[in-house]
Amino acid sequence: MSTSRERILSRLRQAQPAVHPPLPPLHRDDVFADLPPRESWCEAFCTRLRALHGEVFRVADEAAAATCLAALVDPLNSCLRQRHPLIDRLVAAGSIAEMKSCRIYEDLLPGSVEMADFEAGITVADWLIARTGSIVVRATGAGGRRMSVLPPLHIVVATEAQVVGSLEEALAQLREEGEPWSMASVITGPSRTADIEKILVLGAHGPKRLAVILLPASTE
Amino acid sequence: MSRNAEFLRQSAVIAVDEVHRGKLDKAMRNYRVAVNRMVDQQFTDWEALRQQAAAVKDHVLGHWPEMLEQFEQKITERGAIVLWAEDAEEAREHIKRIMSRHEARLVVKSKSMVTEEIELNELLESSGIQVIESDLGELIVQLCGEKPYHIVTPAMHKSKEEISVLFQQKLGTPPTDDAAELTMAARAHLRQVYVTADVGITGANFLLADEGAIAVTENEGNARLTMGCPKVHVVVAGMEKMLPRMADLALFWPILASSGTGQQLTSYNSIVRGPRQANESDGPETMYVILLDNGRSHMYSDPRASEALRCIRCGACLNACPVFKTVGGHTYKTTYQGPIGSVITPHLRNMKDWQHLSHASTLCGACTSVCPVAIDLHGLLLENRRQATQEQADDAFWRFAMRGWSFGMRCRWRMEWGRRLYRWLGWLMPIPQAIRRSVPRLPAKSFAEQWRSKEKSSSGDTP
Repeated sequence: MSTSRERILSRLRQAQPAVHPPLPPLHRDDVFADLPPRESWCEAFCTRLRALHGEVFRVADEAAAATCLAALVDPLNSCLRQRHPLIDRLVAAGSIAEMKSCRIYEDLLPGSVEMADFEAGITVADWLIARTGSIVVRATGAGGRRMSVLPPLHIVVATEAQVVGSLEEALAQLREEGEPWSMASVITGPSRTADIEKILVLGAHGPKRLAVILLPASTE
Repeated sequence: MSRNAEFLRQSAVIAVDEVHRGKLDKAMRNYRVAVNRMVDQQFTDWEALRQQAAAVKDHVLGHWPEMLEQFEQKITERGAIVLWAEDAEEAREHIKRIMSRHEARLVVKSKSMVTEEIELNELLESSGIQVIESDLGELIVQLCGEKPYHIVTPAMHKSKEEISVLFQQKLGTPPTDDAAELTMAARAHLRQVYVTADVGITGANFLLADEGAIAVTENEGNARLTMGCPKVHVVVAGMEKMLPRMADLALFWPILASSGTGQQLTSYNSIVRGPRQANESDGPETMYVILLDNGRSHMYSDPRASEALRCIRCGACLNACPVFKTVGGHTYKTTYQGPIGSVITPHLRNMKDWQHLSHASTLCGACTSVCPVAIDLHGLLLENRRQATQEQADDAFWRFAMRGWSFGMRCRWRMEWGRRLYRWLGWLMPIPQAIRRSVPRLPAKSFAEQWRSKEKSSSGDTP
């Protein structure tokens, strides 16, 4: 054990106040003014994400989702996708695989240098947050740390069953998740910056575009 | 020149620089509009919310050593390596060893004020390691060879035109006055850096005791790339960044975003619990977390000043401060500028050289009123003044002057004579150059004298 550690901890213990303030209960949802009612969660998610310059496509079934995905990927030269049954089906149905080099990320690994040139990344998500229009991804669930942030277009395939009301619900779910994930990220809109004269610019280092294809809750 | 004299001299120059003031006013106006809108829109009771946030942080301070141990144990279980640093020098030693162990040549860094505190870039460059700042604002100040101007908006003092000239020289981009084009130039410049860097260094906005995790808040995606691409991820964190529970982020992420940039949530709020796990497809093989003390435990031993350890570095107090808005960020010569910097720098470094910053305040309380963790900032500035005065008690001249003052003020006629003396000899007083106004002349008669003469002249009349 390092001695610095012991010295720091002993200094802290010496200075520790005699009375320990109790752990306050977690704050309640009602301090937030704009929590949407449960029946309009999906609508709220879409509205909120669009306000943040994200794109949302609500589709009726997998066939429509496949068409939508093909339309998004069509103008591009190359894309990467996560290995996942739902994405596999959509890619097959939309016949993207033949048109484009839509590579499977897991096959490319480690390949980080080549990755910088792919124009889109297709992943699933873990949860969508209605109140903030956010998408929660984990390194285990969304095909690693890079796919959802390195390509200039991030396409998320999700279902309405994944929508939760608030950030606290998403964090509670994340905590219960048994899988030993090493990274999770709450994505709220495309990458942005206002570092130059506080002028908003989209696509600083992460995706310039964020597109969500939202399938009905019944999708498997 | 003493730090105080230097501060006064530079303040006097920059306070009347209208170009500087114009740039700052513009940025602050945009910020203020966004924050006010977001706080009104988002929260039903902002005051209750910040008291709640303060209570969570106070709980941390009550259980600080236990939480640090819990954090260390949990994150170590998942394979991260925790290193403790008593001061900046020890943190630099840790980093030097990490760099040589992994034979690092190229380091990509995301925005972190604590790495400014330990002067990490200077260390790496002197060891022949190339280090590239990935946050746009940080990249701009790095290319200029400057220090960050503001803890949240490092290049707040640069206009588009200045950045355009800088990018033409350093990155070879064509001239433009479009912020989007400039941003795209920086994006293009960094793409290959992320995927070829040997080590990624980030800070941490929060440490989570219950999960043994770090949380990073950003908008650009550069931090996610920094901790997603290189094989080694180094986190440098001030050890006061602790939160008891991961669930507390549901409160702290929104307040950091609303106070920092006027957003509901920033674009990316990430939690990292360790290096790549066996079931994951990518991620760093090794993760280090350096917990930095560097004066924080000393500050903790001061029951009053320890309140400032609640700080989440949102920058709201800088943006509210009339002194910051007048003298700007570089004049402070500290890692942390504005009111919070003036409060903590004398404790983190030393009172003697830095106490003058506690006078760089009008005590208007604007900082205290906007602080999302309800730190009594202007109260603490007063407290620093008191401490500094006590430390000065052995200064013979000071003691003599204060005794004289107290002698004069404790007796009516002595005070009157003092006033007269000042009227006659006041012009001899040295006037600091920083005061760009004339010293007011005292009236011929004091209030008491005027009152007496009025009483005399109207004594016969009935009101």
